[in-house]
Amino acid sequence: MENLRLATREGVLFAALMGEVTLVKIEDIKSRLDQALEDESRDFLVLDLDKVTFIDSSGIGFLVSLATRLKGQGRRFILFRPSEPVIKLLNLVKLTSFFELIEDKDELLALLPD
Amino acid sequence: MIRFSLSCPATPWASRRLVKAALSILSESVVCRDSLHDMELALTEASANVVRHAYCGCEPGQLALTLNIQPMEFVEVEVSDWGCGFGNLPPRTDFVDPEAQSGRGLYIMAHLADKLDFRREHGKNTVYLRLHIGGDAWKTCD
Repeated sequence: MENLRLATREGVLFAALMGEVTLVKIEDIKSRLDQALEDESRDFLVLDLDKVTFIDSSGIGFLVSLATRLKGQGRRFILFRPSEPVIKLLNLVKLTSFFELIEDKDELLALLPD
Repeated sequence: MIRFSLSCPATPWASRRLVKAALSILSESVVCRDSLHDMELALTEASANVVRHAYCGCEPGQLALTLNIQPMEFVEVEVSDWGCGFGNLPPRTDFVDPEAQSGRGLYIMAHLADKLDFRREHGKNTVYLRLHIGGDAWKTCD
């Protein structure tokens, strides 16, 4: 099953993670996302987590690493529609305030460049 | 008490399959989705620790998983390896820095389990977890 779908629009990279985000999948997801982020004109990443069915601490570590790196590069990173397993684990490891989380599509659209 | 034993090579792919097999066994007894998710997370973290750390720099050895199911009461999990072990200091289960990219596995296990213990005996390292499962979460009939 494909775990990552990518699309771009006006400097925004939309990435949708699907299925399981664990040690087994992380390297492939990271490699594809890193490749897409090589284009420096993409200064806004929206990571849609609505279809994530399971995530573990490897997945959380990957999200933390990505957020730290993008912040250091002055790029914006949003976790969009985190699924129930994602929210549950973010709460458990006390990271809900570490990320910029958006649940609502209209709220996201208002943030995007025209 | 019903006891199941499973094992596989300590690789990411095989350990994930092992956890799914254990979940399949557990889902025959436990119906509560939240409880099954918690057990899947705890088993995944314990197995991933073996995959990442047990056979440091060597060929992956064995990963063994034992389930003890006491219906209507609890599930005990033992995840074992024959690798380099935890060292002399007790493994740290406390909260890690938000920006840390790793080190959350033991913290997660400690929060999901009612009891968490680390044992080393005759070259075998075991993480023991006991998860109390409330009566409503169990299947009541076959």
